[in-house]
Amino acid sequence: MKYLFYAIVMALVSNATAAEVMISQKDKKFDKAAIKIKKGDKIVFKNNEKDITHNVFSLGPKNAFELKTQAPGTASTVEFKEPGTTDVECAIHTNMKLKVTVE
Amino acid sequence: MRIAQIILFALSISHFAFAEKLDLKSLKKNFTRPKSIPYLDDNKYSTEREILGKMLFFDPRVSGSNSISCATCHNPSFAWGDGLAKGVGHGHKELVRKSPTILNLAWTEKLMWDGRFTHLEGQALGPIGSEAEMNMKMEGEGNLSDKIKGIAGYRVLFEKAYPKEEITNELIGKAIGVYERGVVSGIAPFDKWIKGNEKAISESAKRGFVLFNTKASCVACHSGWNFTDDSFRDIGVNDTDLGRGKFLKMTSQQHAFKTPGLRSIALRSPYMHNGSEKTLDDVIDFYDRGGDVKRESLAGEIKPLSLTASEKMDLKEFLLTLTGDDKPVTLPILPR
Ligand code: HEC
Ligand code: HEC
Ligand SMILES: [Cu+2]
Repeated sequence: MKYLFYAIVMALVSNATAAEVMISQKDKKFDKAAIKIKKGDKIVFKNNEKDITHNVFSLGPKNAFELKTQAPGTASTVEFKEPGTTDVECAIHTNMKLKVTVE
Repeated sequence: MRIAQIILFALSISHFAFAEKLDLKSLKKNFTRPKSIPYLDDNKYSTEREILGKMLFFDPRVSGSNSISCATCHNPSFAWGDGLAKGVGHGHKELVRKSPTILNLAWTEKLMWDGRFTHLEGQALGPIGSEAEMNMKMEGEGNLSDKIKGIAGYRVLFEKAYPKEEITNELIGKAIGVYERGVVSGIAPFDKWIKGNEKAISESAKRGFVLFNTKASCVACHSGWNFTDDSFRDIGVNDTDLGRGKFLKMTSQQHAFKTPGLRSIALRSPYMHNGSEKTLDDVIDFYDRGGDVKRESLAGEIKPLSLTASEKMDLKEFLLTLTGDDKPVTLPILPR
């Protein structure tokens, strides 16, 4: 009961502050070159291709992460916990680049 | 109900035919040649820089043994490769991979079969300093920049190309980069066809172009005027080389190699990073059987294609139209 209460409070709090932004992958490009978000926000990486697989990752400098290969139609969510900039790339398509600035 | 279905069916057919027709026209647009060559902001083009870069590219004194130049392995007579399955470096030792062409690299950021270098200007010092390749001393007394500075003619050429700048290894790399950016494949029959000359290529080659873009799905990786999307993929070449997987741990990058452009491809045999496919027919057979090894990293697009013998011929005819009648390269008289 107590835990349920906490869970509800947590859900409310995080809903109020953290946002979710969608970044689309289409024609071997991200739909933006740069994006600014707030600490704790999430980016949903959505593969909107007809038949191209992507493999989004970041070596940082902040918020390094690595997604599994993404088939068309699928999405993966990444939470950005640290302030700073992050260069997001696709391991397969080296011309795909997205600069994420976390404030 | 029945009638509605028939109408719908008829509509979908006509729509399909219409779309197909439109496709070829818009498809061809994707292969238009670029109008100008990109240079780096801090290393703009000038004739003097290009002349200097060309001399350095062809000068064996850039190597430790004074006997190997960039052109030893990137030889214009072999479409800027060396015609070997694997390069041969310092002391005539075989390297682990094939020497790739340097055609059309001004448009490519990540270089080498495994993407370990960025930009031509930065890459050029790699082979010079590599013990296996040109084995030149890069630091301390008697290093590359000292050696070049010691040649009076180069001092004059550098002053013209980069006035008042000190001759450093980096500057040598920049000059070579300017030269390499100008190494662009000439107008090929395919380009003339793209521009509207229907007679420039055969009907078989045109069918091959459609196959390349549809059933054979080559375009999934070999896209655009230079026929590469600069991607790194495992296409199932059977060896133990991890390629880009040495630097990136993701599954997709294990055994992943640079997707090479396909310009002048008829002149660039043997093929693949290890030279394992001898002819274009071999390459087409390789793709037709879906590569040589099934592993987790294998690209999804690589699967058996069930091409007929005549489809294979069409595909090859098309690949043959990507070679232009480029003028032979003249060799520079080197400064002393
Ligand atoms: C001994 C043979 C040899 C010599 C000499 C040599 N290279 Fe290379 N070059 C290679 C090989 C082999 C590779 C591919 C290596 C790899 O990917 O691991 C390569 C790769 C390259 C690439 C990347 C091509 C691509 O498609 O990504 C460039 C650019 C290049 N060399 C330029 C040069 C320049 C400039 C010089 C002279 C300063 C030079 N090379 C000297 C053998 C050579
Ligand atoms: C999944 C991406 C992909 C697809 C699809 C693909 N290729 Fe490739 N291609 C590559 C890569 C990556 C290499 C280099 C592989 C290696 O050396 O290990 C390559 C190499 C080649 C080479 C040799 C180039 C050289 O310099 O040695 C030729 C020719 C070629 N491909 C033609 C084709 C044709 C024709 C098709 C369609 C039947 C095709 N490719 C489909 C990615 C692809
Ligand atoms: Cu991608």
